[in-house]
Amino acid sequence: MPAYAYFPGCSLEASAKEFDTSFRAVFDKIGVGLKEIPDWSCCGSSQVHKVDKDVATAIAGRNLVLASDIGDIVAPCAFCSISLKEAIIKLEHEGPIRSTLIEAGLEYLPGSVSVISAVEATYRAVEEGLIDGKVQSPLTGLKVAAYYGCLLVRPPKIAQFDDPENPSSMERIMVAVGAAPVDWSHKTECCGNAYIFVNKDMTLNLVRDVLNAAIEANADAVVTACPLCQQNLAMRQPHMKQNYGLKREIPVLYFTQLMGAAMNIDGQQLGLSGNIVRLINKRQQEAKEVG
Amino acid sequence: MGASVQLRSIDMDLKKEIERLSGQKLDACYLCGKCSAGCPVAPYQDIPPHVVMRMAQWGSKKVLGSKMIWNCASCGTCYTRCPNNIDVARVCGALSQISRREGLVADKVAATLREKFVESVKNNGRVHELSLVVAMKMASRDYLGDLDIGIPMFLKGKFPLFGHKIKDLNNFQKLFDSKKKGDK
Repeated sequence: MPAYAYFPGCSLEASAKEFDTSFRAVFDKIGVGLKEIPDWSCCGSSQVHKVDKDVATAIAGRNLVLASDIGDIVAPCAFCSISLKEAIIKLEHEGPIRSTLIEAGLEYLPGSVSVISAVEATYRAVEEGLIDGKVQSPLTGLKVAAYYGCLLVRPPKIAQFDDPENPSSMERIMVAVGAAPVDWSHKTECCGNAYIFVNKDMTLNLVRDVLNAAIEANADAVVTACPLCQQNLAMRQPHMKQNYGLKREIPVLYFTQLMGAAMNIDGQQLGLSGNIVRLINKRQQEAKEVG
Repeated sequence: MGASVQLRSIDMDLKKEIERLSGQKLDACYLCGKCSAGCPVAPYQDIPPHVVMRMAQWGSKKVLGSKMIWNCASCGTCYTRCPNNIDVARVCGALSQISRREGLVADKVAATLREKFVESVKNNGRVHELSLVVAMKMASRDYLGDLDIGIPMFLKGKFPLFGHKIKDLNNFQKLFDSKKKGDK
């Protein structure tokens, strides 16, 4: 069984735990192993980068070293995957940071490990035919807006995956589980990041624009692959409807939750609410009736 | 703060410091404005990113008091589109570091977010989200806002009371004394 070194990241241990459980469940189902990196630490994130970029590279580098015995890293959170990818590029040339790592008992060997996001790992699995035969309950009739946000595909020199302005890998994944991706305008617009805590008004304006674009494209749900995107988009919809001109409420899920539903994985394990399960069933029923 | 800058001479020390901390070549910017055109947060700031770049090229101390340098969301849109390969987010990051050192922080709440985040990482090896959220609510004095979201999350176990401390914290903390190029 192929296996990745799994880097959950801080959010997947807490606020985004359904991303963790659904990703693990789907990969278990398709027979791709995820071995959690022992004693992993923070990826460096954009906040550490802004305080000291070399410290950010060093702490990301620690995870690269810890993973190198296991295999290539898969990091679901968009911030984590981009931070770890950037560290690989930086550490090629940054001798002093490699020395810092050695002093902490960690020897980094350039080229020893690579990093991909959960979307990339899943896309590869789809291309390799690993999900064939696993989709027992295709999400027929369910219209989804695939939302990438920023860092899954940007900056392209670091992400090195898909198109930075008009990506399509998540659409490919959604088609593979029977859903119908919509064509829409805001796939890679920013959700406002952690600035929901700093400048709430700004962030809610950004989120409203993304959600209204998905609603205008007639989507039943938005699928995401980043903890901050999912939470910013999902959490304040009643408030935004009342005060920010949000057209209607719309479910926002991790793409792995919908994949799991199509693979008949238990809804509780996926963190899916009863409302979503009913919506999926309703669309499947409608599709059957149309024939 | 207006978009025009009047200066008599370039503050080379400040300019070099920005370049060192950001790792970006400021003079590569020819002010095409693509960064500002695509910046999602620019409409809510005092000055747009290309003006930050211009002021940085001049080593203008005024830019250290701008809100924009603290509110860059690091989305990477500007870097993706820049014809000269400049990572403007890194320039904003460098400027915010200097602005903090000089006591010119224009957005104290954003500065608190950064400080608390890094503190949480340094003390535990990982971020403890609940502590961070509480600290941010205190800093922004939005004590009761979002309780309708926070309480259900807490009840669903999404905000564990205690964070995870990594085992090898001692060696991890050594990484915060990262060596720089040119250090012995």
